[in-house]
Amino acid sequence: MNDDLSNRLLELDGGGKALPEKYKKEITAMLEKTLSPAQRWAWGLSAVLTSAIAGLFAYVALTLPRSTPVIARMSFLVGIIFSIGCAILAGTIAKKGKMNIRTDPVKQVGWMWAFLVVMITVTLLVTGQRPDAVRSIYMVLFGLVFLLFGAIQLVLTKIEQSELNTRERLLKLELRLAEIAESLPKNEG
Amino acid sequence: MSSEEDLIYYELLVLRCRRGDRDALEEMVRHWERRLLYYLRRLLGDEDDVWDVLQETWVTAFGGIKTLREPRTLPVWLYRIARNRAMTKLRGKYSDREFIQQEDSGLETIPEPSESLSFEDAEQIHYGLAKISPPHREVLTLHFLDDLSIDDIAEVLGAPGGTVKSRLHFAKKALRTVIEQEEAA
Repeated sequence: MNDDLSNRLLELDGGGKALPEKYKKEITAMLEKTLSPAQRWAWGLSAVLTSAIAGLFAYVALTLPRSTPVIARMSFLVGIIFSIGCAILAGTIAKKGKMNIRTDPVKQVGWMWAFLVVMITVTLLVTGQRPDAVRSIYMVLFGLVFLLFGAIQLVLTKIEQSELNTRERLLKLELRLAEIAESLPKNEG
Repeated sequence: MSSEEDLIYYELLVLRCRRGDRDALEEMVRHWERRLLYYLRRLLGDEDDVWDVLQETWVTAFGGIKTLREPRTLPVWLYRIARNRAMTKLRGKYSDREFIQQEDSGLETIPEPSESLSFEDAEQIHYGLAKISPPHREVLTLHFLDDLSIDDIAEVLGAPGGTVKSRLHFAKKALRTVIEQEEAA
């Protein structure tokens, strides 16, 4: 009874009428998370800074002495690639002036994880070429600590996302079952 | 009262909102904005106030959805936010206390309706709601709009279940009387 009644009441209250434009804009703004001018400038500044870092890496890589190992040059190349990636991301956000509120933590953490693994691998390779064994071990341990923190973060995010995914799937299943259960008496009748 | 299907749907919607799913937030707005609008219009007189409070309600809801402990109480939570915002707006015009006093003073003056009405005629109800006291109007609006249980309405109003039960009883009586008087006129 009340579903019909509530719908009829809503109709009488102007249910069919379009909502005011001002209200619709406000709701869209809430969903899109429009950046304030200060936030836009901050993102723009981040884009400039990361571009500058990429430029610096490129300059250092090009001016390194010929005797510099290839691995060391590679580490600069990795730095350039990730700096350019960050600059593009920050620049896009600053240009659009808004952020989609749907954030994907797994992708963010995945990006961090990839950077970390590449950097640690490069560090280990560089370390392996050093003649000083004690310092090499020290550097390896230092790198592994970072890798451990990164791994913990990745695992925690994965667990959290898996829990949410499982819960969502279970709820969808429960919802489907409830729909079927509600339709059964009607079919029998 | 909400069916099991509805409760699961609320929980799923809250979960999706918590994950930052924009579609879920839009779905929540679409599902409840007309109901909240109807409720707020019965609560507040001024149309500008109604739209202001509705916007404030969504701001609070979007910000607080992650802290909602019982996702299945989503409608109650939304109505409670809307009510709190509306009461803040009303403070100064008339307070919560006056709201209840109006109801108490109005109870004895309600004449007994001659026969029970089934409350099927939406037009009569819509008209009648505007004629009864604000506390009666509020409790009946919640009852008719979302078919909330006594406990749910009590939670929205922040009043004991017994009080809500009696308020609902007298509100129905008042509405029947108004409708009868209108029919007789």
